[in-house]
Amino acid sequence: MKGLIIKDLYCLKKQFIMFSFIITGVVAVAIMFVLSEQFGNLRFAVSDMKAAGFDITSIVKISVMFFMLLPLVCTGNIADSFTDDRAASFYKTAASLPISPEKRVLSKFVTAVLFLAVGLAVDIAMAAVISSVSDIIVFSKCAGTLVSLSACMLIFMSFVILLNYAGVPSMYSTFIPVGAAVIIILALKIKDISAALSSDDVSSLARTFRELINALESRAHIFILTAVIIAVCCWFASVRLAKRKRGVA
Amino acid sequence: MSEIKNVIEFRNAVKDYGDFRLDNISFAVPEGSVCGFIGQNGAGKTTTIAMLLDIISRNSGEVLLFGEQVDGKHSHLREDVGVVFDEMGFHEFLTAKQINAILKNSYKNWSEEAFFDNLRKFSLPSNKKCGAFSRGMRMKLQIAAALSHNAKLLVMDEPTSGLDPIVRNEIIQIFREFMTEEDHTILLSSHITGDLEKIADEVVFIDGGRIVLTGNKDDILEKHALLKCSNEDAGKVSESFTVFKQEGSYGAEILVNDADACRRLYPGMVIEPSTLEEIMINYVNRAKAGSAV
Repeated sequence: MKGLIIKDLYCLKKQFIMFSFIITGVVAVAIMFVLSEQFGNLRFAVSDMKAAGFDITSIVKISVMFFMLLPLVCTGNIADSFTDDRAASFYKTAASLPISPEKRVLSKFVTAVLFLAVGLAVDIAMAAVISSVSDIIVFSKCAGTLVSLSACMLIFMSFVILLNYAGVPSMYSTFIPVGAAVIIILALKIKDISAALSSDDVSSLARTFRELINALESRAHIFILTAVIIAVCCWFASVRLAKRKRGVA
Repeated sequence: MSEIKNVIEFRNAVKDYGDFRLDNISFAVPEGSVCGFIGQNGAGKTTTIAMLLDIISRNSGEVLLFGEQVDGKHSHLREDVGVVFDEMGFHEFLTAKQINAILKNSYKNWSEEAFFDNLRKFSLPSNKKCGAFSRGMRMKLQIAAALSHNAKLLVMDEPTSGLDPIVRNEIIQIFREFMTEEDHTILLSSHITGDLEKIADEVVFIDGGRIVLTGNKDDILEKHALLKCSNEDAGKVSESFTVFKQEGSYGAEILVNDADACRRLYPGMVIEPSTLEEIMINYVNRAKAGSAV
């Protein structure tokens, strides 16, 4: 199994340039953000908006959340290893190795978790730096958000792996979980969204966002538990598919 | 006297794809032999090998490897199997050194020393991306890997197709060296029958998903012969000996399946030894013509 993990790491190493580029960009923006928040326009904008009664804290938190998501999304591109395996017909080679289908599938999950851990480590380090020099984010809450987002990424990656074992082309396997998540969220919050669109009343939508942020910040354990359960279920289902199809890498 | 062990055994194995069916495949490969698995493209060779390696499941029948069932549960059996596919099977951005790192952590018996020795022997660079390798080099890389974990069985799917005669000869030489150990066995699928004639002890001939002929190569070559005669005389040859008859303006050429009997019964006719290729072509033509022996 270790051999297959090493192979997947070689596959994902190809993305190293893109990953470095994104990390460098995120670090640069983080420095600009901190400097601006301490000495520049952002400091005045925040105080002005606070004075005007805007919920600037939530807006900044959402911005930071999306910003922090970048390294996680970047390292969570497990679908590429399936694309590479298919291009090289590696599934035949993998099937000829003395490795059981269970371990073959497990190697994909382990690779996914390893890469996610790299993205999370980068993000945690950034959060530590930003929170030490700025009041806008609190490290413990930011770390909670990042762990929750990592759990969400693990859920996404588990479905990507499952869909690839189900024979869905790698490109679609990335879009299907994202599309499904968007549809579910829209369906659950359709009332708030339609209210915001029809009467310009964004209060319920803003409340939803705040609830989401609070959940990400303070309920990381629930996200982790959910992610682990889903990952295990996806592993079982993927093993069944791999056994039925045998040769899938 | 010790009993001959079969390293590979197919017993009425069936794989049905709807538009193609491997139909009741039965044959055995004894330990210490080189088995040539011949047939035209699309005959079912790759599917049979995929079934043996557990890459695909079967609909019915049994497949045994080293006497154990191939059923998706015995992955450890592949520790002793070296596999060479018709395409490289490794990512083009990997170097031989990286492939060593992958396989070292996949096989218990992997020998780095043997792998790098093989690379040197085959003149393969260890730091060059294998995407830049020629087809011959890619095949040699797979063979180098297959020979580096103390495999007792080599399973190869068209390893020599698309290669020039010099490289093919080099590869055949590698197989000969592998066979110096008496417990080593090779299953070599190819439609280049010339290569098999050089090295094979046993032959399994598959066509249209069915085993047409199986047995000792020398026996098969001895039994079959090309009988050349006039078109008039061709009618005298018994249908029971005739595999396929081809009539032309200069006379008839018949592949017969009992050369000795034909020599006795038709002393005036020219009977020449046939090659595996001629045997394969005539059996395929017979199947196409739908004639029965």
